Amino acid sequence: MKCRFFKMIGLIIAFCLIISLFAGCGNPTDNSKGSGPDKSSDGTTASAKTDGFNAEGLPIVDKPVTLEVLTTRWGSMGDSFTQNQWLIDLEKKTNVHIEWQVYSLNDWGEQKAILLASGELPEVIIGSNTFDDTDIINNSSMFLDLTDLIKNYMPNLTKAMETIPALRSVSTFLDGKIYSLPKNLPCRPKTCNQPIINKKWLDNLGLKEPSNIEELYEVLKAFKEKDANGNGDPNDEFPICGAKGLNMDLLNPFGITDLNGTHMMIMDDGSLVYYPISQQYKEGIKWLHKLYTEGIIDPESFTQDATMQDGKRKNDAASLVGFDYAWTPDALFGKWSGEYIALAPIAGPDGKRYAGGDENGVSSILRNEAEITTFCQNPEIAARWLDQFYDGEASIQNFWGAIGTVITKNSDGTYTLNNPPEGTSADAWYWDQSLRDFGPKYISPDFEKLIKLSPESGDGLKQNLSKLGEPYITTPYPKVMYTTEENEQLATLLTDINSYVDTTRAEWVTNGGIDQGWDAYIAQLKAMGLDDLIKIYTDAYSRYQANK
Amino acid sequence: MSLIEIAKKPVNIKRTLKRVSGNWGLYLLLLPAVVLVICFAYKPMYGVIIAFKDYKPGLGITASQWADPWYKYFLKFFNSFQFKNTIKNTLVINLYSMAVSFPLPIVMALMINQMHAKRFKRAFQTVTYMPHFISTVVMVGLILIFLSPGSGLFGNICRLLGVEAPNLMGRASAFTSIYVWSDVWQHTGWDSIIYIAALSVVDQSLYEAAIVDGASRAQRIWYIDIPMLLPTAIILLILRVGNLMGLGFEKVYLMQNNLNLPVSEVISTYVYKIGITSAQYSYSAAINMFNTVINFILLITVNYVSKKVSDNSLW
Amino acid sequence: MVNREETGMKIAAADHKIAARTKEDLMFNIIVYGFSALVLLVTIYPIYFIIIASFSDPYAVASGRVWFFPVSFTLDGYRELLRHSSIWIGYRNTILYTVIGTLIGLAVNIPAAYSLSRRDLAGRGLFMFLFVFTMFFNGGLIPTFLTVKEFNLYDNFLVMVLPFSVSVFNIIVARTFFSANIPPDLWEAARIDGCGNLRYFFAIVLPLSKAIIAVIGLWTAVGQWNSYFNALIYLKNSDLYPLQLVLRDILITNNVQSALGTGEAAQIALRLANLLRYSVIIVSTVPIMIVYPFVQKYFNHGVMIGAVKG
Repeated sequence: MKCRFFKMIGLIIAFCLIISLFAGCGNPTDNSKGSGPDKSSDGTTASAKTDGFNAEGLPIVDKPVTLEVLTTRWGSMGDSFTQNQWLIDLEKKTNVHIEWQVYSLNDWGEQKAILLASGELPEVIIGSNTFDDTDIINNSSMFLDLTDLIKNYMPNLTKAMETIPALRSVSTFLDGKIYSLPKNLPCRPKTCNQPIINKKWLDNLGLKEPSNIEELYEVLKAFKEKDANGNGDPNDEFPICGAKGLNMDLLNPFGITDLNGTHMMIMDDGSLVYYPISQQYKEGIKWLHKLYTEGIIDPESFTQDATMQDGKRKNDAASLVGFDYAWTPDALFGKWSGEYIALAPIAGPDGKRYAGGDENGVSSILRNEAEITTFCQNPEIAARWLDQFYDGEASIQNFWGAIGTVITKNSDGTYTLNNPPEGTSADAWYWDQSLRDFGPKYISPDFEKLIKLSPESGDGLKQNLSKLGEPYITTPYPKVMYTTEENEQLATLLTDINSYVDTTRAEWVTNGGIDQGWDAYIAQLKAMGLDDLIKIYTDAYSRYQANK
Repeated sequence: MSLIEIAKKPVNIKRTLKRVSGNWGLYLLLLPAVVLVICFAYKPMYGVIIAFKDYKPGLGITASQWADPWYKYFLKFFNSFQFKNTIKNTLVINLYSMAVSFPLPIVMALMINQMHAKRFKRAFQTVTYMPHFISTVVMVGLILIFLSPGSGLFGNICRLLGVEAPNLMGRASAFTSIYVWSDVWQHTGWDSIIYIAALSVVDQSLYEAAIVDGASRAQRIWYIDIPMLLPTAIILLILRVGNLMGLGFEKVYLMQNNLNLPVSEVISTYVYKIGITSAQYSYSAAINMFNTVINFILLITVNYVSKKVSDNSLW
Repeated sequence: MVNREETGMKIAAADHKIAARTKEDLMFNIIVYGFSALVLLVTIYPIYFIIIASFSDPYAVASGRVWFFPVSFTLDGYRELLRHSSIWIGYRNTILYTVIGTLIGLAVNIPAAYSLSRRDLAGRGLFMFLFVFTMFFNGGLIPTFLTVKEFNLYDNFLVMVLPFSVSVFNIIVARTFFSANIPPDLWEAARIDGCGNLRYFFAIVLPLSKAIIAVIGLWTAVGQWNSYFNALIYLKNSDLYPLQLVLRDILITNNVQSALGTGEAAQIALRLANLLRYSVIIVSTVPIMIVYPFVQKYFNHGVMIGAVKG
């Protein structure tokens, strides 16, 4: 009796389970969606929905139209920027309603892969952190070539590219097409990281600010041996303190600068040098080793993590760290920040000074700020909409915030920034109010003169400090573009070679032996493919130069 | 011979069908798991071919070109500079780990089983399984803090003993030990749960009989407890061996630094670093497949041996 | 006639054995309790450290100034966590996922394990192989994602408890338990009495298997409680986010805020990020640790068998 009952229950459960699981099974989607609607190369093909489209003037369309735009933001910043008054006004002026899809960059890596794999993208993408060079190159069938759209529908950008040709050359991909739009940020300093030193310690010990490498050595030695922070203990100072390695800016005096992290330097005569195999690097490492043996460098610099390093930098009882390279002096030391000042670049053994930076402003000009995908219904409308961003006033409102909230337009035509409201910092406020670093922007050199920043803090302060290093800026290896094959090779070459360079550096700084080990080091690097790596960098650079 | 085989055949099919229909209830019990596995594990299984293709996300798996030659990415890995080193490091860490952290949960379970003071026993169990829940980031943070020669517990103890504290995290030779023993600290308590459960079903009367027969505690453990644990232990060991090439990446990555890198670069961290430069789907898929195949072969071998030796095996 | 001498000697021998055993017992106890006390100390201190670290200035923690008491006592970590209302949603979701996920997990894995433990199951080896195969080879993230989408499970709470509920590891361990502890004679006896497989399983096997159900249930529950990766990939609606994903988001966001911008605000965010890691552990772990004592009682002797003899 009971057995039959269980039999029935069993069958019913099985039946339900099978049905429910397969009920949701629709047609298997072919995951090779590839390109959407036909992309035309000249972008002027009228699409069914573009009646009422105006090729110039506002509104862009007579009847309201919706545009899907995807962008990524840091952490949980969310879509607060959509409340920016300029964006709201833009919608009214242009008749283009934006449907924003905002993703957090926290897990964008995985979600990006899935988005690309699903074979369908939103119409417009904004933000250089959203899709990078490799994403675009590997999936170029999903992005429109914007060259003609720019020529026909984007007068602001065209003018910008004429004023600053770098904007065009940086956006041109290897096949000659332009798949993404660039930006040019306002008020970027020219010098990147600068030497900063604890002025109070100098005063306590009666020392003057060091200007060359011998003086720096004497000062650091005094920091180590004497009671520089004035708390009675001469042994608790760490003149230099690293975390999982040392900051390579310490080698600036030796002529080594590496703004974009490629390890390649451009010398005065235009030749390229891979700095980890240069004589200057050898000299620099020997100098660091000397500092290490004398206890000037924290012996845990290679093993402690960033939190422990911060523990020392922001130590509650007394300031513990004396010297480092940073963006601004107030960036690193917590409550002791006021004791630190920025210095002019330290002169090296050859008597010259070098600073890492960029004549055009650090990270000022970048590509991949906006793309129009092949899934866009009305590329002309998207192009005209994006062109609205390439205007001085538009750009500052998309970098700091709307006029009236964050920016004040003064009667003399200049612009100043307002103070942030209680309880939030300037930076956080700007991120809240605007797209900030991301999205198309353009400031002409003339317009930039109209922006007045306070020299006390933030961007204004940095602009001021940057002047110390400006005469000595080296030419950085630019942000070039690589072919797909080069990218594949780079992935393995860089992993192998960088690990080896890092490990040998750690060994030589802590234990010395660079002279003895140098030849074997070079041989090993070559065996790992260093020549291929240098060739890739050289080729990419030649292509970049040719495009200018 | 062949006649007998032929004669045997139809009977076998009939017998099998009879066995199946006779035990239909068992198949019903098996059904949910089988259906789920088919739908969500086997249906997407075609994705393994990524390792043999030049996968481009925009094209999708089916439309991407086949790699030329098909073993292109495998060859790339074999020829790569890190091939020998990463495999060696992965194996060394895993073997050391297996040797140490396999028997210890068993020992702990046996010890707990011997405790008669109820409150102490419960407190002990609770405290020892707590570390399992500490996140990897905090765990490694703790390791670095405690081992700091300058300010950590280790440094202070050394100074108390009058010895100069070595920077252990900066010593390549110490890396594997620190990794393995911190794992032991963190997971032994939790891992012993299954053994405690296995011991809990031992018939009390067995113990009583043994005591009457004059068995000492050590003998009771050897003749009653351990055989109770043996089947579970063997299966877990087989599964462990079947994961010899697999090493989670997060803890190693956080513990790596430039001084211990020659010993701490393992396959998973290597794959991660490659992926940072540019997503190499096919290459990392090929490396993973290589690992998996080795693991699988190991599993089959060990399983076979275990079957012959102890009648405990997966299939 | 009982030889008194012999008996006497036997008693003496027995007494001697008892005495010896008691001495051995004492030594044994000393070793066991002594060693356990040591293990207890070594384990408890770091845990205690984490607890007080969650109330201390993170830089004091990192510089090794925290030993037995919090330094610069602060509730900022907890305040920051509880400030996010998404935490409560996370708690609610995770509790739901854990309860439902554990029930489904048990319902799927335990019967399969029993079924595979029976030697008379035709095709047993084949099924085992098919299951174990999936432990090694899988299609990868993207094909699995597409499959989940096809079944309309994307952004659906079911995706957290149903598709990945099969755990081959759990099935294997449970199967071993069944093989070792449910004697085949029991089934023979029941079958003769006219009982079918299903009834046997529900009425006889399950009550005898409380220990393994407890273990698998515990493992499944903890796995559910700690999971975040599936949510990351398959859930879009933040109302469905489990606790671990919310906590992770808060942690990363604070880390990120400190990386952007300079000046005091960034430093505050960084300090908070470093403090949060400890508070997060406490907040996410305490609930699950409360569960274990309830499960523990199933591991005590005598809850089980005895039913089998004869």
